[in-house]
Amino acid sequence: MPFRFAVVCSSNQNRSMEAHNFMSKRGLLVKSYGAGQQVKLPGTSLEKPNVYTFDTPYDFMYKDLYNKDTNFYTQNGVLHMLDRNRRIKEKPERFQDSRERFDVIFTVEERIFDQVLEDLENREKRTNEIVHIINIDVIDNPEDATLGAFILCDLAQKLEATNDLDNGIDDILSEFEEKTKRTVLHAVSFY
Amino acid sequence: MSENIQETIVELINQASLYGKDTVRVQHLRHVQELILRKDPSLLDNFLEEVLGFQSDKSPEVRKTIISFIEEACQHDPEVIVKVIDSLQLLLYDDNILVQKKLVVSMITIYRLTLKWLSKSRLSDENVRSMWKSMANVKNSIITKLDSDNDGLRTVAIKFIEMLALVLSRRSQDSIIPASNEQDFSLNLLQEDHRILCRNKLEQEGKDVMEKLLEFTLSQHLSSVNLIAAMGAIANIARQRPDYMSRVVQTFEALQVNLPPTLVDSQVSSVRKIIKLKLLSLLKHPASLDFQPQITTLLTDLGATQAEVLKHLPKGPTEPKRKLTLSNNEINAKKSKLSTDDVHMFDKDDSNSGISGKGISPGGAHGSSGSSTSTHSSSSHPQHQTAIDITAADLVGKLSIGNVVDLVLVSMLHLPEKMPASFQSTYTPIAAAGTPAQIEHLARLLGAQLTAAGYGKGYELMKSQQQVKTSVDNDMDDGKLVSNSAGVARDGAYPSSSADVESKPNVLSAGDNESNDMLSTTAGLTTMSTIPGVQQKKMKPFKLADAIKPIEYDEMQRMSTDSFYRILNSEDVCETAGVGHVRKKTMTSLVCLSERSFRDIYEDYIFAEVRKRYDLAFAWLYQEYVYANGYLSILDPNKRKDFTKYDDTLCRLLDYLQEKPDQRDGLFSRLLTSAPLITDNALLVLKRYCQDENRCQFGMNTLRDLVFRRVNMREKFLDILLDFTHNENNSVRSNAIRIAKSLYEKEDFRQSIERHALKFLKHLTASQPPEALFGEDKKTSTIPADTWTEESIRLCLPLYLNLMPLNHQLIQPLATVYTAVNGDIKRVISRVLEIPVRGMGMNSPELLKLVENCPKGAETLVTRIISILTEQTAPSPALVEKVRDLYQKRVSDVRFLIPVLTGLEKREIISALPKLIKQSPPVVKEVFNRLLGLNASPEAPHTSPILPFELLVALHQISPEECELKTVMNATTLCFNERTIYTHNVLAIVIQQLVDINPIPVLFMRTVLQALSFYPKMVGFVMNILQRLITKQAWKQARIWEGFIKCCQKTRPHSFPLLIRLPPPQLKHVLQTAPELREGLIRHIRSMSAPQRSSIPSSILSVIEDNSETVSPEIRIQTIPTTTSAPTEQ
Repeated sequence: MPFRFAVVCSSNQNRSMEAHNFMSKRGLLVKSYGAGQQVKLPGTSLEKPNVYTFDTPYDFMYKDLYNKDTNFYTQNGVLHMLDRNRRIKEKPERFQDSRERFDVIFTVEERIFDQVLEDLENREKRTNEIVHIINIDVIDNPEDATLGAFILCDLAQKLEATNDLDNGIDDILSEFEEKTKRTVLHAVSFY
Repeated sequence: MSENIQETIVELINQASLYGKDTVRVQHLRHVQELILRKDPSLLDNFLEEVLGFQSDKSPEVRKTIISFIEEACQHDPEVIVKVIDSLQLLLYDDNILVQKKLVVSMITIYRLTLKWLSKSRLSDENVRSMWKSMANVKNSIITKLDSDNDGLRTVAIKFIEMLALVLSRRSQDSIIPASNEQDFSLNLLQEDHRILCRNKLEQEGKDVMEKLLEFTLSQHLSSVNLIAAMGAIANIARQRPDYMSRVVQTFEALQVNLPPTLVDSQVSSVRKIIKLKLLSLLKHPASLDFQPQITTLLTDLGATQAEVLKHLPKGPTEPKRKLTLSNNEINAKKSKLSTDDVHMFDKDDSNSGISGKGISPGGAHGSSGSSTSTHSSSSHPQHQTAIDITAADLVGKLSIGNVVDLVLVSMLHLPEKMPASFQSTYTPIAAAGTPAQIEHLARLLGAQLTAAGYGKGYELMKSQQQVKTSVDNDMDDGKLVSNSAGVARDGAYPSSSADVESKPNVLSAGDNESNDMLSTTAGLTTMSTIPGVQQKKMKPFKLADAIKPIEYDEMQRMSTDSFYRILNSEDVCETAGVGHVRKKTMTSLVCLSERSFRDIYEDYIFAEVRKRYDLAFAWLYQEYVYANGYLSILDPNKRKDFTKYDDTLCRLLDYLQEKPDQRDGLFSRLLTSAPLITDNALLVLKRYCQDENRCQFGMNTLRDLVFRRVNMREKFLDILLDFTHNENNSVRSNAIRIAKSLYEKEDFRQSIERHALKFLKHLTASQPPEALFGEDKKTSTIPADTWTEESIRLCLPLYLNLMPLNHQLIQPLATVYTAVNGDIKRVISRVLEIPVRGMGMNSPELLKLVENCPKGAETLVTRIISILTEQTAPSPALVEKVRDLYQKRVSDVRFLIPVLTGLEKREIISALPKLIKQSPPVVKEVFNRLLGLNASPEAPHTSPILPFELLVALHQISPEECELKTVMNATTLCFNERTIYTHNVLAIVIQQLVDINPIPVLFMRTVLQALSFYPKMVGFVMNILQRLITKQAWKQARIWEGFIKCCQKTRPHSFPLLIRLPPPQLKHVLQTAPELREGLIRHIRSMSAPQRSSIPSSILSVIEDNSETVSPEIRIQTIPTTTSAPTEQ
């Protein structure tokens, strides 16, 4: 059975969607989520971000920003990103609201890792199925998101290749840490 | 509709059983599962068998699907469990780890359901019972998977145990149960009188698995995933079963400073994150209120902010009742609060708790019925925690700067090469170093470590208390008494707490006899532990330990020694009073129990007059033996047998006896033979004794006695003895051999002695001398260890050689070994063979057998043996027979015959002669010695088959083809030199016989000449012989003729009459060869009377007168060796 992967970032826009895109193209079973309270996109100034609720479709955001300042949002790549996102799925999803089960959940920063863990802890547990939560820091900009997606995908493929994930994951992760010189946080939880 | 579904299911099952893609088949089965369990559960019975059939499918995915099916079916109708339990058991041992994992996960649900169903069910038939038994098997098997090699399997096993701990315990009021687990089973739901399930047993089991889980969580070398899973599990349990709260917090506390060293940096951060998360979740729990300070401290250490902590604190004030029932925990909390708060807080807290304790303690001690259960279970657990508290409190006072510096310095030695990951991330610079608060914290950390390792005041206290308490617990029922014991436990746990001291009277008033007993116990314990901060407000009960002053150690020592001396010196008094045996017993007991000092005194006492007092030594030794074996009731029966003291005593006694100058009393030997046990060290003493040149005789005799008397160690002693038979020291060796030989006569030892001797004999075939020759105490051996020397070769043999006369069969292996060793060793063997072979005698059938079956390569050995045998006595006919046989059949070496020559027939000797005289001169000499009986001993008259003259004649008859002339000449010379045998008479006979032989032997004339030169008076005889030669026309044999002429020259003038009788041509030749004869001859003729002269034929005269004749051609001068040894008499 193929593993079910999830990638969780803050707003389910840049990092998770980049990885979602990349990994599904590589044939992995993947879903993407945001773990923040709202969907935040950069605004014209730092103090004024664009904030949406999670059930706002990407298409709506695209059009909204397009109308606000086409030039600016084209320049900073947000429109391009939204355009890609709306081709992948309709709207952002919040991890805490999803009840889907995964084998591996990737997070892209420690804060999100904590949020995911806490959320999983507080869920109603029934099946005792194990889920691995893995955090690899990815900086929130388009370039790093691409690199991060590549790294996550690489790792996911390695995990996919094992027969016995629970037994092999430690070795894969330490090898991965060694190779990429990135710190990997790894925890398990149960559904 | 139902019909339709049924058909669809049949179709799906059929498709699933066909070969196809696993995923497709799994899909079919999932579909079946959905149809049966969601659409029409009544079909379950119909299709269960079919679906279960897939449990042995070759695809793991299919098998996993079947497990999900079973799980869901059980959820649907728990009675199915009876039908599927066998499948579950089977699948638990599946080859595929993923299937196993899936099974364990499903078992979590199934086990829980089973319990729930059973608890409600009234069924108790055989099927159900057997199912429950199988279920228990499955459960136990899953628990053992905690030690599996597979990380994932361990993880799911942890989850399973979590479930066990939850279902096998009771919910309490403050349990926080997640909505999804609300319906789960817990022991509250079980009737006490259930027919299959025993509540108490299950509850105990629940506690056991929880302990196991906690222990597992703290074990080293845990993987991070397991650790995270285990932490999650215990945190869950703590939330749902707050009775475990203290243990769980405790575990986290211990864990935080003791993370498995195998974790790498990032894993440490992950784990710490989880600890934090779990602690925060615990903090939320109302039952954790009492542990807030500890949890908060831990959280701060883990980097949680104040805000975070505050956010997780439970809301609302806590009700006083709870505070009361768990007042022990509360005090605990107070104590640890000290670690974070200012010390001055103590007073305030103390007064608080004092008030609460005072206010409601009678009620509190008994507890309300609602909380009694929780108190009960917590009473069995807080020891671990309180142990840390006590140890920590004990440590605080001891953490002086000096001690801390020492600790740091000592631990420096154990610092790892690399900073461990856990330390790196844990370490934060200590801001408030040296403050009382920090010292408290440090003491607590150390306390946790010490308790975990099983050390420290608290740990010991708890352990002893635990023992007392278990016995008390057993006597108690539930209910009131339980809460009492909880109160008592609290007393024991906090003997130093002032709050506790205050509440003590209350407990006393409420208590019964048992609690009084308990109190006295705890009081005793209190005196044992002096904990800083004890406030002695209360009246102190009388304690013996306080009222008496310990005697100084030295003083004690002196007094005991003095009394011992008094006993020693009372010998006469005791004897007259008839209590000598009591004195003896007392002394030996004292000595055995005492340390060194008494023993030295006692030894001196005994040895001062050892002949009189040796029985004391023996009694002492026996006493030591009794102690060592633990036969005495006053000793701890579980003590392990320890013979070191016995050993020591025995060796010292032996040492002393050994050094005694006079050994004739045999005490050394007696002690050894009568000692109850001979230790290895005693053996060493004995060995030393045996190797002492002056004492080895006694030593060996002792060894012999030991061999006879100590049957169980017989082999050992025998080995020692036999080892001495190779000792370098001659006296040691010969004594050992003497004993060995005497033992050899006993059938019992025969084999082992022989084996040993043979072993050493076989050592000779090794490339270098055996280790055994240079035994442990022969380090200073003068023998080189790397090569064979004559010395070392000889050392390997003596025992064997000495045994040979006793067992003639031994000659056979010797011969075998002989063939395998090098020349040096062969030579040595040949040399040392004389005595044993003589001992065996030539009639030994074994020797004869050896001669008969002489192994290849052992010919020289056999020759040597035969020659030894025949050196002084004539060979026996049997021996001769064997040798002859061997000579004719196998060994054509004539040397072989030499020893038995005298046993051979004349004919044989003569035929062997040519070969014999070809040997080297010494051998030839030996041959003649034997033949002529030159070496024969006077008492055994020589009987040679060949007479001296026959020998010499035989020599002459050897043809030149057989042997070179020169060799024969040498041989004859040997004969001539034996003047005592070859007298002129003998020679005359020889010459007489030779001259009759036709043709005359070549050496004949030489022999004549020799005889003549040795015995000049034989000249007349020689003339007669020459006369015979003329008649035999000796000139026809060139050599003889030449000798004839030479002889004539030598014997003139006696030869002149003879010459005249020669035929003229021969005379002419003579005169030509030896012209100097002519003149003498002429003179001879002239001196003759006329008639005499006239009888001389004129042809002769003309030859004499004519000196111009040429030599007849047929007479050639050939050089004839004339190397006669110059006769000295002449």
